[in-house]
Amino acid sequence: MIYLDSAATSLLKPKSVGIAMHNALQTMASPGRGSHIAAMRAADRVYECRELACSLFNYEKPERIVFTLNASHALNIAIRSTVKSGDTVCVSGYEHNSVTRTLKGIGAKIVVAKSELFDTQDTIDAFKKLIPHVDAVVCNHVSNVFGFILPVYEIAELCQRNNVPFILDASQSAGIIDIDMQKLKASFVAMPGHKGLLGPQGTGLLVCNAEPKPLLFGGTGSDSLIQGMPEYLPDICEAGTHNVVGIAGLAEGIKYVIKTKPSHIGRYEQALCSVMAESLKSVEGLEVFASNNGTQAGVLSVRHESINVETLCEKLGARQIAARCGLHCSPFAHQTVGTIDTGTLRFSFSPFVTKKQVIGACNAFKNILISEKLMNM
Amino acid sequence: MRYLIMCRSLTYAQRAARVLERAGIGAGVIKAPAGLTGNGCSYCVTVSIGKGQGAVNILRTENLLQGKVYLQNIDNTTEEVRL
Repeated sequence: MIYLDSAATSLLKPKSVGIAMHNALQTMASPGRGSHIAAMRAADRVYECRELACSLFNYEKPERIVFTLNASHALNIAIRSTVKSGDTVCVSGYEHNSVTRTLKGIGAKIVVAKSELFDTQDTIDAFKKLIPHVDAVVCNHVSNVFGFILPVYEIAELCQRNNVPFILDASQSAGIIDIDMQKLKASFVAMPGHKGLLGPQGTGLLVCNAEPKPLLFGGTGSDSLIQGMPEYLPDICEAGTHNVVGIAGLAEGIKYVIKTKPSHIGRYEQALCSVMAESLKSVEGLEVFASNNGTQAGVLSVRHESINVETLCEKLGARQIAARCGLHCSPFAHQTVGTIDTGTLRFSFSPFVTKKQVIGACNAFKNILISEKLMNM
Repeated sequence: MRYLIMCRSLTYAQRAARVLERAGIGAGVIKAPAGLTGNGCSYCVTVSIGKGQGAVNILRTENLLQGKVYLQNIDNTTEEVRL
């Protein structure tokens, strides 16, 4: 299989991820639930993962790294800790439902800083106008549909100047673009473990620069006589037994990312994206959403003027090429770009995909387009 | 005999122990003995008898000294100490 769906889940992982998970399953119990060797082994592994995350994000406080089930869980904690019903919240025109549904669920008013695709200055200007009039800003770092790298450091700076809390959705950037918590003025940074961090599904992280409120309530292995959640991190946000097996795998994924360096991974994925965009841009009837100014990560969307994306994705799948079609849980992004009626076919890359595979996928895709057109003649 | 440095959670105890280890002071993490924790389950950092003052100084500097310090005797009795 040629796997080009890493923006959804990075199927291809370092071998060490699976080994660590198998080891955890066989040798580790639960942290904070005892002081026997199996519990302490688990505690050490979990703490190691917090330290690795700190190392990756240039952060100094491991206790402020919270483990979550995924990015949606992390975003729910962050948003519900920051936004209350009736608040006005500014988002980019490229947000995922994990942000917008959460805001709707709270009863917040959403205002969109709408900007042209791949236009950094337009995006900054759009936020600049709105930030002084809102209660919070939530923004993704990289659009999961178009790969647009948003100017989040500038947006965060604007937020700080206006004393507006800023939440970063790093779902598509963690592990692929450097995130420096010392420079980024963010209240919270949320991310999944199973994408660029190369961990397993069912893991996520929330970096808490601000004080979170608990989303779930339950046992923490601490302050057991008190019937409220502990008021300190990470316990306040980590009710219930940890996903130790997942966290063990995530730790190995993060180790790989640190060793390889996010910037190297990001550049590699961008290069693969460019190879595909170049190969496809001259195909008649195909609209390729590619940047020519370096503002696109390793995510490429396309659509055809007469063949729907679902058909194309199915045909690719039949040839063992994994891509994704539809709205990608991000209707805001499609409304911004004008693809809401069709959706897009998305290719996304990882450090384990080769240029040869990408070229092979391009050739197969072109052949599919030719045969579909012949069938429709 | 050893010192028990009380921490408010397992994670804080782990952080404190790592800081001490990086400073060359051997430290362990154990579940705090019953009677030393006001709110139920908690964890503490253990250091040997000759390292107590140094450990406390480091944790104070790092703003990681959150709880009381106890001397645990061979018979497992404890007494609060000020270092």
